[in-house]
Amino acid sequence: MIELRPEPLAEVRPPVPKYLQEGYFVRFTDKWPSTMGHVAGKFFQIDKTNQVPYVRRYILPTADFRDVDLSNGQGAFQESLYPINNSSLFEISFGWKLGNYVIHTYVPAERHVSSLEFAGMTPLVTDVNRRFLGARKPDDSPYDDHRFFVYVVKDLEPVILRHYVLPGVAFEKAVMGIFVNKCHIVEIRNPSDEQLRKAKVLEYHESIRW
Amino acid sequence: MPALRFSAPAIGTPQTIATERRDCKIKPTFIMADNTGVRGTHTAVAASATIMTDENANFVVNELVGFTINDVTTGNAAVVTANTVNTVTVAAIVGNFNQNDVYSITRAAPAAPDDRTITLRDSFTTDVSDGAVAAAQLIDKLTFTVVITGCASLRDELKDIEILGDLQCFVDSGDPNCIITVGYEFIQN
Repeated sequence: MIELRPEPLAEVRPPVPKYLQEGYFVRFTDKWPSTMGHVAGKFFQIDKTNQVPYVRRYILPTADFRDVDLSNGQGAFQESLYPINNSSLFEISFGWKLGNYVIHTYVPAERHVSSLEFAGMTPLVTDVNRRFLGARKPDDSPYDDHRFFVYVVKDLEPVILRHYVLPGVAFEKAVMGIFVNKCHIVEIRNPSDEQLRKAKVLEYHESIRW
Repeated sequence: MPALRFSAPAIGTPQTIATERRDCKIKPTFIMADNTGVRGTHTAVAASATIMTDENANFVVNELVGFTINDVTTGNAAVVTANTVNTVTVAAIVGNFNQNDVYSITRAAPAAPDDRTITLRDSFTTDVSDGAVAAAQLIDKLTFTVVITGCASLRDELKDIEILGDLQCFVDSGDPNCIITVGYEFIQN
């Protein structure tokens, strides 16, 4: 699931934790495919968490881009941030330092999450207008206040963050702060209504493409 | 705010002031260049091939033995064999020390005229992108000249400079008499 949390309009006291905590419940909808049968349609409780901060930076030339692939592997663009255990859920948040660049999200590769419905209204970095369609600016999810979240489990299709340097500078340094909230999840086969009500619902990414 | 003080490095051996921090850019905050060194003028009326006299000097006796005295006006140099409080003796210098000749004293003969051209550079290697392979880049960000016997201090001129990789300083010639100080900070946002 991909989530861009809006800037809060009001402060809540006491504050609500930003990340999943031990004891929290999560429910994967039935839309998750059978290739991820270990979570599809299932209900879990988080019994352990471990937070792992990380930083990546990419220095890129003008009007060029780099596809940052979050999935596992030895490829030049793969960051290997996915879990490899069935009982792991990684809640990964991202924040960027200010700069002359934008970020496009694809999952899987070449399928943008922010296409509109009219023919041709698909983000495209080589197009002077559509490079801004669905583009996220660094200040949409600042480095010190992450608002962009991706929930990944084993075998999820690659999530691609395309970092595109806007024309106007010779080179730009895109700095991406990463925070991986590793959650160990335990299935609850018969959750109560109360547990179901409290659970965070994790949608499959296809649910945002209707 | 960190800063680094160093004498003008030789050509091809840049002084790295700050190495890249991967989570942010670097901003140079000031640069000062002092190109005065040990300098003065030959004040004696008489020209001399062996003794330079500077009545305003206050050397320690024989502290300069083995150093090089450069007659900046004529462009000649010679090794110091002795000195008093206000004179410097050499075996012989081409063109003589003439009244009002500017001199400088260095540990070694400078390789080029004493005006120094100083450049701040950004040194980094790009990442592999869609259209390009990784490549080392040296990007000049600011160049200025500090004249002999002069000083320069720049601050406002640096405020829009951002360094993506290593902050380096190049100079057109190694010169122990030219002292450079560069301040910098890491950009947190």
